[in-house]
Amino acid sequence: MSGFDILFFVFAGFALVSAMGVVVSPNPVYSALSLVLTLFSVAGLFLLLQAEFLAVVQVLTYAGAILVLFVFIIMLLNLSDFELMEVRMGNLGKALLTLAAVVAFITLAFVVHLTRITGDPAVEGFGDISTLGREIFTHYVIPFEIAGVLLTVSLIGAVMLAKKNLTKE
Amino acid sequence: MEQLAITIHENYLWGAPLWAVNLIVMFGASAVVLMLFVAPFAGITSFVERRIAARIQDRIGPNRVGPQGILQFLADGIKSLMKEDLIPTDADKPLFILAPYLVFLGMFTTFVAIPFSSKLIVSDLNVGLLFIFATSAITAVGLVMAGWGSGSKWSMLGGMRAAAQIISYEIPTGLAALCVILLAGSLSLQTIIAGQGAYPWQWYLFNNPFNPLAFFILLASLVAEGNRAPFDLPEAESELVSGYNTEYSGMRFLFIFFAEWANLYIIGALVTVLFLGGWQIPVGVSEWAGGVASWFPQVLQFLTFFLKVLVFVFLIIQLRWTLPRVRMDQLMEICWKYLVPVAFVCVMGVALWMIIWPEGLPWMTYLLTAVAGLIVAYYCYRVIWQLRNTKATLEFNPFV
Repeated sequence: MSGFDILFFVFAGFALVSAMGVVVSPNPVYSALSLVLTLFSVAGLFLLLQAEFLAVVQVLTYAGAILVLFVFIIMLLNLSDFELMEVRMGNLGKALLTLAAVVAFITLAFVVHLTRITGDPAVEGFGDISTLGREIFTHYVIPFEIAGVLLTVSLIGAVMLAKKNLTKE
Repeated sequence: MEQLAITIHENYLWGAPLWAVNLIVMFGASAVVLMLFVAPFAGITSFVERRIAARIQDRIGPNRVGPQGILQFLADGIKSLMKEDLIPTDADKPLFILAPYLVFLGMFTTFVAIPFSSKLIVSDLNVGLLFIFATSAITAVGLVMAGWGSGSKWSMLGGMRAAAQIISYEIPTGLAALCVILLAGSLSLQTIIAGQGAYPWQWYLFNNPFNPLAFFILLASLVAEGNRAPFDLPEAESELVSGYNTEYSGMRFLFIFFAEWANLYIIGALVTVLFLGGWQIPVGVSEWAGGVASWFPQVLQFLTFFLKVLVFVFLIIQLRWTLPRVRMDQLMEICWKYLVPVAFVCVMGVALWMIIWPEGLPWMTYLLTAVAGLIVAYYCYRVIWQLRNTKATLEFNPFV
């Protein structure tokens, strides 16, 4: 067992345990912070796969995203009232949700099974930012542009929503 | 660093696997950097800041412990260590305890990627710049945790402000840094430095007319991200007692403040690496020093880098005690209405400049250098004028 293996198990273990924490924790603040730990552990896994750029961007993006989530939790949920957190639904609703979760899990497992994950990088020099940039702007330019338009649309949507509330008051 | 590990592996610790040796060397290097550099630097900066603040406010400042009070930070450290470890009843205990360490971690991990000289660097990551931004983001999570975990309204308001501020100012920071990344074609700090020269007109700062603007944006937004005045709203004393660190005392309080002062070094180092040529010394000097001893150029490079960083540390401290604090809405306005659009213009401008004049425009570089020289000269003149006209006693005291 090499150092990489040990690090892999450390990161993977942290990722799994904290991912459990996200779902199980009754306190949404703890959930959000567990999510931070999950995402950072995944960043560590990326690092082990030599995808430094991806790892760093993962930390950079999700640290900010978690902060926003945190602010939402504090602003939108009244944390002194924990009964608010209890899900109010009948048995049928719970059963349907469980079924949906199982179906989603099976689909995911199937997709993961279909994907052949090998040890080799997808492109030569994948972790390198210049390679990544070249791939994005040549091979994957259309998905990239679509993602860009999608993000812009959601940004404009968010601004519009915020503005509407302002004029109402 | 890896070379060192391999050498130790081959010559000393027979049988120990290479990764273990690597790990030990990494831990050792981090400990050395932390103990011998960051901690004294943060401590002495705290002392210098208090002296400068006192000077600006017409006081004397700490001058009792040691010569000119320079050991004040040690006394404060010991005092804080011995203080009772208070945890408020309303606090969210685990978060409250964890938060200062997260702040500390975020700040000190940054030092992994910061180059001190051409060889003195813990690890020259090929995504070094992004790594520094990412670890600073961890600090933000720590600050919000501190604010929320304290269970006090002041702290929470401070934490929320910190979150809003840091998220907002990350954008102009990144865009301003992008101007240099475009020129250097790399995110590795050593490569960025290697793209510049020792003399001011070889720095990225004066490469084109957009870069000085980007430099200003970067400095302003880094100061804002570090929660320093005039952008220190998360800990605005006049409104929030002390913001996210209101409830902290003893060693935990010190951890948060330690990180803040170490952050001064990081701000200075980032600005120096990106725009001011980092550790570059003239080739002639480097060759001469190499003739004296093999380690001598490294020392000169370190001193050059350190000096440039110190200039910014002093500048930021002076800013803190001369500028009034902005309001929260003004803070957001500065970021989203001015810094971000101007930073976008800078990025586009630098890109266009690189297409039109791929080799650079020498007369523009010299012109910008001259203008900057005039600004610096005027600044020095004003400082001297102040000292003379306030009848300051100019005895030997580097902190007057």
